[in-house]
Amino acid sequence: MHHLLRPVLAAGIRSFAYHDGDAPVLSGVDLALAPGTLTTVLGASGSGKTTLGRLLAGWLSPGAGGVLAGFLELAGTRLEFDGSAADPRIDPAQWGRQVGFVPQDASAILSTVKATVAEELAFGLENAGMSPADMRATVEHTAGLLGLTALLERDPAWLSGGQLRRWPSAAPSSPVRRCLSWTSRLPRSMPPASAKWRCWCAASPGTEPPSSS
Amino acid sequence: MRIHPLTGLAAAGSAAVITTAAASLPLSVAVSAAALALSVAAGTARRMLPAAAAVLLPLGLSLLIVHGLSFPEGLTVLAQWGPVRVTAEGLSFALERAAQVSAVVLILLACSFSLSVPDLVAALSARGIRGRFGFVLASTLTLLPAIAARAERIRQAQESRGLVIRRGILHRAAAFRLQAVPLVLSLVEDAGTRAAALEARGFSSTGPRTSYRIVPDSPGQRFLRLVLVLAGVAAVAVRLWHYAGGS
Amino acid sequence: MSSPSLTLPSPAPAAVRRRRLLEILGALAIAATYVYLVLNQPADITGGPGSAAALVALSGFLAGAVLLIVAVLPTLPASTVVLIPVALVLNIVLGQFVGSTLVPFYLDAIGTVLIAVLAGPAAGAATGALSSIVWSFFNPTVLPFAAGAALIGCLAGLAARYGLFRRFYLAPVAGFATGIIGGVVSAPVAAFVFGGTSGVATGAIVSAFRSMGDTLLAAITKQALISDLMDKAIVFTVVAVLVYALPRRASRQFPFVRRHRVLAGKAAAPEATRPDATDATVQGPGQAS
Repeated sequence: MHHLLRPVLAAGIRSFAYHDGDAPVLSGVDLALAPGTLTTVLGASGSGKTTLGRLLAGWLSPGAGGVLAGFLELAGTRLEFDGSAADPRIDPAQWGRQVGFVPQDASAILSTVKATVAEELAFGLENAGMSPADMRATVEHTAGLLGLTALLERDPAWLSGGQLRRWPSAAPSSPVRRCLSWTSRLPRSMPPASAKWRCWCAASPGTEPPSSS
Repeated sequence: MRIHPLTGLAAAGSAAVITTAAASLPLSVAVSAAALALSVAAGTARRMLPAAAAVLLPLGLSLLIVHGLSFPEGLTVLAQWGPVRVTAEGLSFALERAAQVSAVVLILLACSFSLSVPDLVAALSARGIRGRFGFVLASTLTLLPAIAARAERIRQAQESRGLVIRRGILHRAAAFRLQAVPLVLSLVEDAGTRAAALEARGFSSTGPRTSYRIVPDSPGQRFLRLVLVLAGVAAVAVRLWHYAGGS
Repeated sequence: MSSPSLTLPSPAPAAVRRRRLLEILGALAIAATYVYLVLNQPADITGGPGSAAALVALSGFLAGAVLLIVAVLPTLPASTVVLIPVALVLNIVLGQFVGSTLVPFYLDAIGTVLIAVLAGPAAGAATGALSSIVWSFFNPTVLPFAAGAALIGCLAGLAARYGLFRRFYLAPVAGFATGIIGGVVSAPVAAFVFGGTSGVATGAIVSAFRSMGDTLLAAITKQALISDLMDKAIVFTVVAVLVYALPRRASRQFPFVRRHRVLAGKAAAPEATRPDATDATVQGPGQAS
């Protein structure tokens, strides 16, 4: 059972700074997320949780988005960065097939170019060159998971925030999806300026995540 | 059968080019009438006419002022008050130019208002330049009402915090700053998130792409598009040939 | 399951060269059209509606604008491509918005200049041309001005590149200069395609110059100088206010801003160790012009 213990997503961040000339946002972060686990990181607003989530999900590319010294590892592939021009460049599309990310403002994930929910669901499949027949089947399956079957012909701008937040968890690329990362505010009983970042890693690729908030 | 969006665009563009090349008043009037008839038939006249009027009325008035009141090249003087000289040549120049521009504006608007933008984007959406142009077009049309609504919300929020637009250019500039800065900040932030989300969904991938929306096309329409484009090019060539030949 | 590589290859230099060629062809088409129109204008206007000149203006300027878009758009990173529709909407919405709150100017290039300052002259030129083409879906009369709009975006990007946005008082000066060049290049379109201007007030100014005996092109060029000068000075000032109001993390995310130190303020410290080679290859010729 050795392979179960091997982390599916890992990071060793000596430092990460945006290009704004300020001090590093993250430093000394070591993280290894094993399959079949749900990890929660708590911290005050502005402590770098969202930056961490975006880095792990490939939404923030080292180089273009900031300067990373350290490594990122996904499914056994480790990429080393030292902030030089010779650093590897992450392919966000390939990374995004395996790690999903839900931004705080979920409506920002809409492409703004699709007229219906069905076409919006198909956006990533079109870009991957999936055949039309497979695409239709995948869209219907995904819509079923999300409870959107009745809304497939609607304008995606009318979807609610809750419907959109669940979207990446059943993203049409889920056959190889291993991890899902999201940030959210804590309940009112917790200190006001704090929030949490969570990352769920499936025991095997393509499994549905637990119902999340 | 549904008209392919590129066929519609080719027809409108070709008609616009031929009208400009011909520069004939009867043809301009006929094309304007045809454009109006098409838009009534397509049921878009109610939306198209205000847009056309907003463009054409100031333009027509401006042409009348420019050429109706002063046309130094004109010889047949109809009326003269000081520097103002109304000439028959000036008025007919204004009329011909207004008719020509109206024909072009009406035919292009009749096309763009009856066109299905999602179909056009799907038809364009091969990878590379056409896909990116389709993205810019569709995203602009989607964002336009959303951003206009957001600008209005920001204005209301600032007013409820006590913003009063007073007279005087400095007050107005300050008021503009209070409204435009938060709007642009939030838009740039959203665009950053959207770019990352699109990248994760393969926006920049270079491999082959497919389309979910199927836009019916036919060999006949493809041939028609070719003929329309060639007709437009031929009209330009003939006109320039005459011009160069010293017509 | 065999997963494809998680990293991107480096782009081929041949594609970069081809794009560069298209850019130059586009600029040449616009310049040649302008020169031709200025040299040939007097014979045409008196001989009735000068449709040959209108055709030359339309086809030359449009071809140039389209070539620029074809050259630039594929080289832009997604973060810039996604910002272009926002810029086009800003051109439209802020233009109307300013019209109702500020002064009677038609400020329709705020978004274009904003992109030019953040992403460089090539991105600015493409945004200007795209703005005219997309806006022509509602107002076809702006289509022939695509080349002028591209020129304004390009000049704004050059002004940003050479540090004119580092000092606040230099931005309106750059706007004046851009307005002069943009106005002069757009005047033949107004003269030959429309035979006048799109507004009543500007029409009255043209009429005044005409009654003093000017040719139509000369009258419209003078009118354009008067309006565009002030207009672009205001637009550049507004954009300077906007880019300095952006948080540094937002403005410095653009490689163009970092590499040419477009904005005043402390430079990003890690830049010394990282010369943005990855961004340069992604952006291709967009940054070099």
